[in-house]
Amino acid sequence: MTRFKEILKKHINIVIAAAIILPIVLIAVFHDRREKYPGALKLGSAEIPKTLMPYSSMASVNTFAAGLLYDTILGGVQEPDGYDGVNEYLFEDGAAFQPADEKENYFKFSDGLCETAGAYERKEGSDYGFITFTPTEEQYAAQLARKKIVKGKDEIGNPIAETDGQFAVRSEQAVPKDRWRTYRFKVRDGYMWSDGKPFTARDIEFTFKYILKYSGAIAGMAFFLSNYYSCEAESDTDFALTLASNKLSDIKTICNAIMIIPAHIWSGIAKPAQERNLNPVGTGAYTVKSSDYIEDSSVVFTFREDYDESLKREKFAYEPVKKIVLVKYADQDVMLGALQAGEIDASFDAVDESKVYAIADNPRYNKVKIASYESEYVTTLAFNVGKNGAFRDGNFNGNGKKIRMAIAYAIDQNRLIENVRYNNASRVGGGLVPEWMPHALRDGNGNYVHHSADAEKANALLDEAGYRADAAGKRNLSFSILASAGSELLAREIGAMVFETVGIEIGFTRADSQYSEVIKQSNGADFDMIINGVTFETDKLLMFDARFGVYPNGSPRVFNYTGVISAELSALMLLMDTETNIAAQYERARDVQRMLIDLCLEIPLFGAKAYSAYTEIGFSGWVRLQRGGVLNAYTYRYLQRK
Amino acid sequence: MNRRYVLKKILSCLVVLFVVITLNFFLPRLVFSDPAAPYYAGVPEDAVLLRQQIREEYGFDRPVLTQYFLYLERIFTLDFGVSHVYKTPVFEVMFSRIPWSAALSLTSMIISAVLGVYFGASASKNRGKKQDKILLRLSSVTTAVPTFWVALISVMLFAFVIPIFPYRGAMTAGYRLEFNPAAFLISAGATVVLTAVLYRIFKKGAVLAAVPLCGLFVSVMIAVPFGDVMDVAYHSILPLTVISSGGVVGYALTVRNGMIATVSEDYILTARAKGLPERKILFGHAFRNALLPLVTSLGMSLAGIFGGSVLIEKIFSWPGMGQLLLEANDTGDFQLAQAIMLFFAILTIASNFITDLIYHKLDPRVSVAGR
Repeated sequence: MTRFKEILKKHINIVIAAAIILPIVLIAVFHDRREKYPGALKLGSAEIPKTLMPYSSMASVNTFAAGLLYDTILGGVQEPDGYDGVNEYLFEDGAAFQPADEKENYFKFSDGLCETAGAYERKEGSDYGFITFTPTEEQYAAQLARKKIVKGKDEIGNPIAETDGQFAVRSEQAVPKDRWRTYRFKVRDGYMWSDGKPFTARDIEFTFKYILKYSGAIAGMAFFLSNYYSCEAESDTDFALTLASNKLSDIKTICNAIMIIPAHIWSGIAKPAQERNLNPVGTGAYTVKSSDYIEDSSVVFTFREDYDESLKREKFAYEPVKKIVLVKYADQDVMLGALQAGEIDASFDAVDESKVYAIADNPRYNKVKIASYESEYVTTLAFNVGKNGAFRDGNFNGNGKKIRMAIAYAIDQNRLIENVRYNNASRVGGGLVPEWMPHALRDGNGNYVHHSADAEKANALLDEAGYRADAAGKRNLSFSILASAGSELLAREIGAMVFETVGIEIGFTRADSQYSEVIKQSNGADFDMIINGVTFETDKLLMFDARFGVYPNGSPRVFNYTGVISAELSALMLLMDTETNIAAQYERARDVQRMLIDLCLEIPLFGAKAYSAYTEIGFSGWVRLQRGGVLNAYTYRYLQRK
Repeated sequence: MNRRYVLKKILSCLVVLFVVITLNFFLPRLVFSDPAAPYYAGVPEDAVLLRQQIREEYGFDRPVLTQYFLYLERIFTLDFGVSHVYKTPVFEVMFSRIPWSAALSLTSMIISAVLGVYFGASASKNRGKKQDKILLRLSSVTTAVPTFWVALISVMLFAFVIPIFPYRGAMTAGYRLEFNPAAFLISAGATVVLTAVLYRIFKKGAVLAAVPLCGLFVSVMIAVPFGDVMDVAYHSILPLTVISSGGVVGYALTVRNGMIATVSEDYILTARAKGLPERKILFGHAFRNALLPLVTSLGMSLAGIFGGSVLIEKIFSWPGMGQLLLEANDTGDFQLAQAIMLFFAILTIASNFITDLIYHKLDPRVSVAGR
């Protein structure tokens, strides 16, 4: 015993090391957990949906989950990358991409729950066959009441002073008095709820009424129904949808955005704000068992065994992927390592540009494929023309606009793209619109109009405004750019560029998180300029706020959060907003763009590129979307296990 | 123990708690011009009516003071509201995460403390020698290198380059921890009884530490299937190693410095002059006093046991409280963020209180000075 103690004492460090290492080795060798879902499509995501409630959040991971579990009335068709609009695009199974043809069918192709064909065909000289009517006094009053438009009170019931004329304008803006429309749809064959109950038009009627009943709890969806008037199921297969709107695009919003939920389940749910829906019942091709939802770790979507054969043939070119697993990888570096190792097949989230830079041509990541695409996000420099802003009306002896324009002319997009984005960005056209947008401005020769740098014009404008340069080339003007820490380099590069070109000093002020929310909502902040962003969607024309970038509709909307007061701009925006002809609506949008360029409220800096990462270790047949990554409806249609 | 001293401490803790609760309520309202702003996701600014309905749904339409008193009332009934992101009562969301953070942090704290005491005592004994020099150099490295960087490198090295450990999570994807709460409670109850009985028999402080720890281990083994235990253990090797590596060196340095300062005290010289054996001098006289700074460090880490480590949990996708706080902040879930902050504050206040009591027990001069 004494001998043993002596040996132990002598080699105590080795004993301690063994006591640490031995359990580790034993655990590593004897743990018996292996991959639970071999053959599944595995996607790494920074976030797992917190609930499977289809209306809980607009976060992309939630809409992804909802899209697998539920369907909308019409669905949507997107263009694959490589389709040029002229030549036929063939998928790998030989099927040709069917582009949308709005001239023949405004609703485009339907891959959703309903069809318009058979219910309404386009008639010669008519508005695609749906009924346009003037509402009765009762209907109009009911809609006003629903929107809480009451004379002498604002929408939330506060007293306001207004004349009859002002009330008439306000109510007309809230609810148009004519050209309401009723659309009729027919439910397509084959759709069943995943619990085996039949799907009917009555579920659609129920869905609309449910969203409106709980509009405070599910406000994100209720907003889509702001111009909804009624939905009446005429039978199990037919229903009529009436909108208190003269905007053609409103119907697309509703038909593409609202996930239809089963009446027999949700009629018993009185608190949708607290509903997690972990045993979802939907019409989608996939379903989730509650045991397969592991909070903040993984969720497994399983292909429905009872899925209708004809729908299966329509939606899947090959045997569908049986299981799709969303696995949480909170850190992107770790996720990219897992991708290279084949632990996952694709990254659900867009990959940061810095990570792309790090793994490009890196042999350690030779299995990771990166697809880059033009994102719909444009980074901008916005001037504060609000009531406390540096560029509010009346400042600089009325020369604020000239100074804004001078700064705009002093900023060279190419230099920013090269120095700040390492050439991973694209130039942006006038009116903040990327040139690949169908409504981007062109000059008389058909060339895209870009925001361009012009030092001579910039200096001339400042001289005109009375801010002359001193002997050192410096002018008596200094500003600050409010931006997040991540945009400091960009702000400083702009400052350096503007100082070199026109002698205006521009500093950097670090903003706290959520700063843009505060600024936009209070509209009384006293900053000079901010690094901001604008999200575009092809159908949407202009969108002045990234938060609304998820609307899958065709409605052009412009929100003037900068606070500038311009009757002309407001008039143009109203024209654009109420235009019912799509081609004309594009023209009105271009008018708004020209006006925006003229007002010089916000300067485009560059259009960001986005990146998606995937591997072909386990699956082949990835299809990229135009201006989109590799995770899309075509991916599920064409993916094949290797 | 001096009752007056304890009462005074309790009173000051309650005052701090009240201030924290008040700040916790008002700070988010100062940050957001409209506290309901995070709830508006997807609702445009011109949808005034809808926004108003949201405010009513979540009670933001009431006067701030009314909201404050309701908040106080709810706190005392442990009702922290419902997370608008998780659609679940905040208390439940937090409760599901605490064991994960605790498992990681408590284990790493025990490993760090045990090894830290051993290496620290050993370095002080061999002051100026190789062992001491290694510890001093290691302490420079662990201070200079951020833990999250070590975590990233360790994942890259041991999951990617040499693939022997998993990339992420607390368990293999798709598996859920099966936990038998009844078995756990019975075993934990038995542990409490056994600790009391053994302490009564042996009257040794070590019983109060060793028996509950062994009991906790046995309870977990009884309540959780062996496969799940092994899976969690396998997934926790890398995060544990990363967190503990910094802790071991930190504690070792604290103990080393404490021991060196103590052994040069007069009473140690007296003990040596009396001819007491070196072992008794070190552990019977010096160690108790050298322990004081270690108690402070451990006490401060108590809050972190349940609070978790934000960055480490993010890198390893560990489903703990640190990551929950990060997500609550990102998603604007401020009911949840408020509750987590309050929970952290309570933990910190409680751990300070416990540290004070232990300090008082170890060194009665503290309470005299505190009068």
